[in-house]
Amino acid sequence: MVWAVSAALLILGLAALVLRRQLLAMVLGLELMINAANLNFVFYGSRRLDAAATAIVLLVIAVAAAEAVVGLSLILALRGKGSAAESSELLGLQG
Amino acid sequence: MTALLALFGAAAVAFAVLMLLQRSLLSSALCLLAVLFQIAAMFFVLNAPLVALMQLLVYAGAVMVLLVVAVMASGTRLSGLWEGFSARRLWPLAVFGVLLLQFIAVSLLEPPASGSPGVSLDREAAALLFGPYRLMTEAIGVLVLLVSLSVLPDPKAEGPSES
Repeated sequence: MVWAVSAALLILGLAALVLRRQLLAMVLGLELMINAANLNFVFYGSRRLDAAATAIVLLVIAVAAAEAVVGLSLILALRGKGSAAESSELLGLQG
Repeated sequence: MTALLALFGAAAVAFAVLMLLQRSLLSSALCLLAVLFQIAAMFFVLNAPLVALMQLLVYAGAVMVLLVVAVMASGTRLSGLWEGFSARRLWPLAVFGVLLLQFIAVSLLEPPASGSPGVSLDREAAALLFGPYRLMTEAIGVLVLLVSLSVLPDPKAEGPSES
């Protein structure tokens, strides 16, 4: 049953990532997907009494927090330059 | 335990669907906050109290504050919150009322004893993080430090001229 919840959260996060055009909404979907993966790890760890899963989840939480900080600061920097911060505007890289 | 997991899981999926359907970014962020609370409660039920605490502190606390500040700084319209619902003023209050009831219910659960599987798993995880996984732990600490330094404004960057 926890697998089903995790899969549903992963699919909903992926849908938010694919269907929403605003970059902030895409970050929300990404966070949802990371939490779905964490839920799988914790469920596995509690079933098998495996401490490595708990350790991995703690590391993933730290990395996800760093990822959120970088992503949000990039989005705010885009907004500061007058962009609408939507995925349709980010079509190319400039060196 | 299974009933609690089913309840929290169903609430998490329901809030995730709401998050996907909301047009307002702030409403989506609030729905994600509710999902994070449900997942933290599931962690607690799954005998992982340390991970549940970290989920609340880091995700539902720090990351959500960052998200809400970013949403507010991106110029969202507060007047457009919860559009499409007839009782739009009561809806957020009902959500947070449910969350409050959930907190009370989880706090009434039996706290894990010192020898319970969850607490011993947390101890083993700590021993792993500062034992065999210490290089990874240090690397992630350096990564977080670099991230916090990288988002600081560059003092050499061109600012508004004062003359």
